[in-house]
Amino acid sequence: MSEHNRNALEVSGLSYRYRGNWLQDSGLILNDVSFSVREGESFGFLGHNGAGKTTTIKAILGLTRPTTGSITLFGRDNRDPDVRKLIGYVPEQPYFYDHLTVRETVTLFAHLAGVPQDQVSSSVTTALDAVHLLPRGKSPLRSLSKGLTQRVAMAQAIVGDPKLLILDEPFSGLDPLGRKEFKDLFFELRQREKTLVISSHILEDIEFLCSRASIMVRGEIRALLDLSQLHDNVDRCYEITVEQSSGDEAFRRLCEQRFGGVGESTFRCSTQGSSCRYEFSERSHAEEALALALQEQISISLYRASHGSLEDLFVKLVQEKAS
Amino acid sequence: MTESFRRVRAISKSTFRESIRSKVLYAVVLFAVLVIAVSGIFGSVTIGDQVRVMKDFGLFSLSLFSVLYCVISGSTLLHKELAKKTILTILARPVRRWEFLAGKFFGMFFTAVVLLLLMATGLSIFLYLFEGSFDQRMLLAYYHIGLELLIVCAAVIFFSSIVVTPMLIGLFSFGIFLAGRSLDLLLYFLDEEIVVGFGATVIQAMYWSLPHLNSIHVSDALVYDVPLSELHTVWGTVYSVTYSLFLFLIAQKLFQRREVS
Repeated sequence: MSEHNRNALEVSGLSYRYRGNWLQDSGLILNDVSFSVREGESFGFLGHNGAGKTTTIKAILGLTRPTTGSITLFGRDNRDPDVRKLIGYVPEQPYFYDHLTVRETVTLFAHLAGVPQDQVSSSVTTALDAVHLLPRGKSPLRSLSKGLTQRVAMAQAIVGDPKLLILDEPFSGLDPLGRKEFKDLFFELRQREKTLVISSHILEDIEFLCSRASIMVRGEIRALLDLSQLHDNVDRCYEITVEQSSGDEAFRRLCEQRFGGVGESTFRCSTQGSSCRYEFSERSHAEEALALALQEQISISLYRASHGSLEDLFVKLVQEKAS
Repeated sequence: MTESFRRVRAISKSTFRESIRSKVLYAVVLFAVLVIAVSGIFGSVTIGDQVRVMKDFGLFSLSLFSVLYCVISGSTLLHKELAKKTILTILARPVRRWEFLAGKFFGMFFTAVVLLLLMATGLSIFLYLFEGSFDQRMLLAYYHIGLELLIVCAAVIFFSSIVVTPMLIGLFSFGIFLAGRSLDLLLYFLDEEIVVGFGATVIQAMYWSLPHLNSIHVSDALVYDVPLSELHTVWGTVYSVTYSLFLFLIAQKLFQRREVS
């Protein structure tokens, strides 16, 4: 079997019930979660707050014991601690020992990851260099900002060159430059055929970095998407933008007379600054609206057919589940 | 095995660094040195052997302060890891839970030993100034205090793995130290038949399950020149190591089952 066809991670039928005490109800946090990630793949893990993403990640890392289901990493049971030599993990809110310096922290994790003794120093230097923290090696962690702590989290995850990186909100706390550097690093890791599992709220990043993604809603996987074919899965939309000063009110009245009121699913209207955006799900309706606008000499500032984004799909799935 | 050893060493080194860089350690050393210095005043107003009083008071201070330090710093050791979630990043690596616990245990014990050595050096210098010579038997007393610390550190780890609140961990661990030092009292209850029947069985069970710190503790015997068997230190060492290992094994078994999220 070629390396790319092998699964780096396989989660099947994972359920997790919170074990409450006699005063608290136990609750189902994860329900029959199944997905797999191939070696060398970048996989996005999406979900709203409280969807169960972090619980799933903790179960993968063996930090929580699932109620049912199984997890394998590179074909081995995830409960085998040795398999974690192949994993690097960036937690959602990275906390490290305040009393250690940046270099001491990454050195600690190099030892824990099983980096050979004679390679520890060079591995730590490489990891710090990758996240541009080399000049801050002697800084105590307590003196670092959130963004810099996030870089330390990344450095400790990549030290020892693990094959699989599990990144829980890796862009959290980073400034735009930091985000750019992290994205570059992820691209480099992808080129080196590392497997990336990225959990993020920032859908653009997932769309940009990952080839596949799962969307988790209230403890269940609602969709597994091939992001290269995302546009086929998400409805198209036809968008007309009218400046408020150029007869927006008149255009709206025309649309309502022709297609019925806003919210009757023919078109949606939203205000953005000084302009109004009209979204039509049907091309024929949009073209008809355009013709009406030209007839009434209403100035249109933009007309385009747009593909729905991952965000559109995400919102749709979450709302479906909620309703 | 070598990899396990490296991981335990890395965690204990980090724990040791945390303690060494904490101001609490130096505050305890300073306070202990002050108390030892005060023992000179006690000695001077005591009828009889001034040096003997200073040794007695000094060894008592050494034992008490190092145990208190273990209890205070150790009771928050695991709690901090869980509350701050630093444990998540550690256990996400190929670290067995027993390795994590062992790292914490050795880190705490080494710090306690360093603290003991600092205070012992202070006491020895102080006594040298009074006596003009160095009593080598004091080394034996320091060693036996070290054995007590081994058991106290294991007790702190044991309670940390079952109790969540640092206050309770501290109270229980210090309670073990006090009870272990006062085991003769339990025997008194039995010998004098103050407690009989089921109560006596409970007391007997307590007597055999609590650490026999009263036997390990040799300071009084050394200060008052009570002869000690040559095997006392050997048996003391074997007992302390075995008892600590036993506590550690239970602790790691309990910690294995604990959810860390």
